[in-house]
Amino acid sequence: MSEHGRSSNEFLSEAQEVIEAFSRNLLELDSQQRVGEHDPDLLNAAFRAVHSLKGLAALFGATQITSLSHTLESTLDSLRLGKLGLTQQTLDVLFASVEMFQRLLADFGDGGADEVDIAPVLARIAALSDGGAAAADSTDLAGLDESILGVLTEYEEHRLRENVRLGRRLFRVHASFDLLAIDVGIEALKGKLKEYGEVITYLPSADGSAEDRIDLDILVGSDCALATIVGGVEEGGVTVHEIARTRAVAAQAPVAQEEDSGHAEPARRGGRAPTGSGSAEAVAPPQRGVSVEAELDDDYAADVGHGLIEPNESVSLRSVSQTVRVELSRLDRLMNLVGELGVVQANLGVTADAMRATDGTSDLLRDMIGHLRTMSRKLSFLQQGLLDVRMVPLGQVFDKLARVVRKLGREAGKDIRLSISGAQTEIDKLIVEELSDPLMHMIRNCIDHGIEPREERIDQGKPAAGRIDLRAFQRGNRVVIEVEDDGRGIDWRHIRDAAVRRGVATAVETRDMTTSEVLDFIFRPGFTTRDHATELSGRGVGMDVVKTNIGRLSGMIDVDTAPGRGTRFEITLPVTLAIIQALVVDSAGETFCIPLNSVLESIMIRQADIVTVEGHEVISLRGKTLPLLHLSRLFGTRAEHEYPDAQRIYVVIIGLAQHRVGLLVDELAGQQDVVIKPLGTALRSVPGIAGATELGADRTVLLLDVAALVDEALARSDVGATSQHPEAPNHGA
Amino acid sequence: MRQFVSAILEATGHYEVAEATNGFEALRTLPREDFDVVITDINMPDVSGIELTRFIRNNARHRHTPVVVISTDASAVDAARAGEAGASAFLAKPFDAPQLLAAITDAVEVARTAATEEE
Repeated sequence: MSEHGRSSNEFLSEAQEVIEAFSRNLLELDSQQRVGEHDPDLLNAAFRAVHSLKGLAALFGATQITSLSHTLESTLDSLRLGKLGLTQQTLDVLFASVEMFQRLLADFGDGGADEVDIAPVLARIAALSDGGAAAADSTDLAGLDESILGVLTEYEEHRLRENVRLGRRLFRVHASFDLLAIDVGIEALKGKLKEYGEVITYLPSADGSAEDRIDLDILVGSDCALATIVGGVEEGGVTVHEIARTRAVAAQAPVAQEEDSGHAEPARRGGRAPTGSGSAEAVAPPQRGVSVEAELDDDYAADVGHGLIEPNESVSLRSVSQTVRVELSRLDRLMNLVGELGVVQANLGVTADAMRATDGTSDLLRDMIGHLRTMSRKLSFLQQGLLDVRMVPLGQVFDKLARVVRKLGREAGKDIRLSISGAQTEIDKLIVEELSDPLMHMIRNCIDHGIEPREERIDQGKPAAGRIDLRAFQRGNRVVIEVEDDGRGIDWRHIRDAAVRRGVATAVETRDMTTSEVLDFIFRPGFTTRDHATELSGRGVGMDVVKTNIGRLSGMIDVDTAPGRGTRFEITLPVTLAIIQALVVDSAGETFCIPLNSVLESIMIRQADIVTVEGHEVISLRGKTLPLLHLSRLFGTRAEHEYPDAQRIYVVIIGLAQHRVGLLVDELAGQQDVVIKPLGTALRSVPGIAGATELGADRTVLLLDVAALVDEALARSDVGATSQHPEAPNHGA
Repeated sequence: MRQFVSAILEATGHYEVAEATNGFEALRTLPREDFDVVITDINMPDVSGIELTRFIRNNARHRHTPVVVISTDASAVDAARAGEAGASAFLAKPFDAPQLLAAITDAVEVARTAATEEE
């Protein structure tokens, strides 16, 4: 292949999609397997996914992925052909191979260092086949038309035998379709037939008289009587026969006459020239080929398995394929351009204002200002459109979590039901990537420490199976993700005692704290160690890391718990980070931007409102103490805290996770949409700065890193908490 | 996979390719043109490559259109049946561009000779 880099990227994203579809099939099979019968279509879809992956990987020389999918394909083939039974152990191995695929794909993306050892997984897969080499199908298919048997694939033949073995009746449904509308017609009929049983195969028959119609024989296995099916699929041109077997008696029920309207249908469309124009014909008639491959239906099946599409819903196969894959970096470039256009537009606005000041009456100027307004409106549509393109459903990360729940649940010997809602909620692709780890951590906590062992749950009158709810929904311009379990909850008294014992807070301090203030301790870095983890019902392990990660995404996390009943974490995130709304502030002659989604409110105070508690400046706000940071002092732009007007000092209250800090600035200059640009290496290590952005009039300003500022404020107040003044509050709320 | 087959064919400059994403779409696409060759995977939902092959063989208009079937060694039984149904050539995954092109060229050549002889 030429263009190797580009095509290998295509391979990566296509392979990723196939693997995700495979994983969804497995998850669905897993939940079906627990309650009994599984849908054979799902196994077949899983087989075809791996089959596609194998072909794909071989083309791109991804040898390890090829050999893994090769081995897996044989196993899945045995499974779908009923030569192997589907058990939880089998599923364990299949899930393990999903994980291996992910690692191999990551390795391939990194240039293929080939350090991943697939031998153990291959051995596990091989071990599956060793156990259950079941005898080949021997169900008697006597009485069936040889011409049918001859064209069935091995899989279709197996399904046919399964249906016979289960004592189902077999039906041959004959239908005639207008060729141009076959997709729609067949989907509708397929939906109806599935209500009665299993569609084993479709056999196009070649003796159809009209060229623009096609006759199909559909083989269906069902427990229903002939009359029931006849009643159900009654529509133009459909007839149903029961296929006679040893006992059954042949019957025929013409549902409707073969309508003869075929010729009245629109005449055949003119020949299509897929690539070239008409001129190609003049030179030499090009050869034409048709290439067919099953691919789309995998996606469709996956969507069905995932509950995105009602199984019987008639879906146009065409619309499913209306997607384009784009590298994120290309979108970033576009986004940057839009940001720069925004700056140009702001500059034009400034120029127009200046012109109006000198010559406010000109018609031309008025026209220009009108056009300028239209342009800024269109520009904001363009910006929104670009943001929409970056959005992906949270289902991507939820699927991974479902695998984690399954795996950890089995490891811990706990039966856990995961319920997911809002998987279609969309969020920026970059945020989704960063969410996996924190969510994974929280889920792990739920399973390891939240949900009680089975016996304990039964003793308490709870359902034996634990429950974890993963919910997502949009609230305003933010996305909320909730992780809730019905486990033992967190006892805030244990946390309080641990905090005092560890010297994080004094007994006196904690006496006046609210429950939620005490619970906040679990987010403190290093607050929990392994020992303390057990004391805190194990909750809080690594929660500081979760908080930091969420904070980095400008998100907040809150916790709500009821001892004995469960715990709920709520994460609130911005929808995107590519373009943010910023509050523009001035401090000692410098301009800074603060991400607006971290700003809770701005208030005006007088210098006299500031009180000093053990060397740290705070104000009292609605009965709570708010630690203050002087922006000017932080960046050394002004040595003393002298504000231009001691009666008018602005405090921007920023919040991160559950912490609140007041930033002292001279002026609030307004709000603006800004595109964040990374800093050069020289400034990257400066704490408190997250990036740079451009405002109008060619000004480059710095964007404050709220997480770093809050940490700075907390570090200072921590000093106070361990000092000799127990009356000092240790942080605001 | 389908896109790669198309890309390989179109890169030669000798072929115009019409794609179909499943068996039904293939059936719908067939009557539009007199195709020189049909390339199909065996493993398709609903209408399999075998069924498609049989349909083409029994159809008066497309009887002589060569059918190249892409299969894997996991489906040896299926490949044999596709052969019985009248497939002109097999291509086992994995294959590379020269292999694909060779299989297609052969199939087209054989079909052309057969059609001429019949006339």
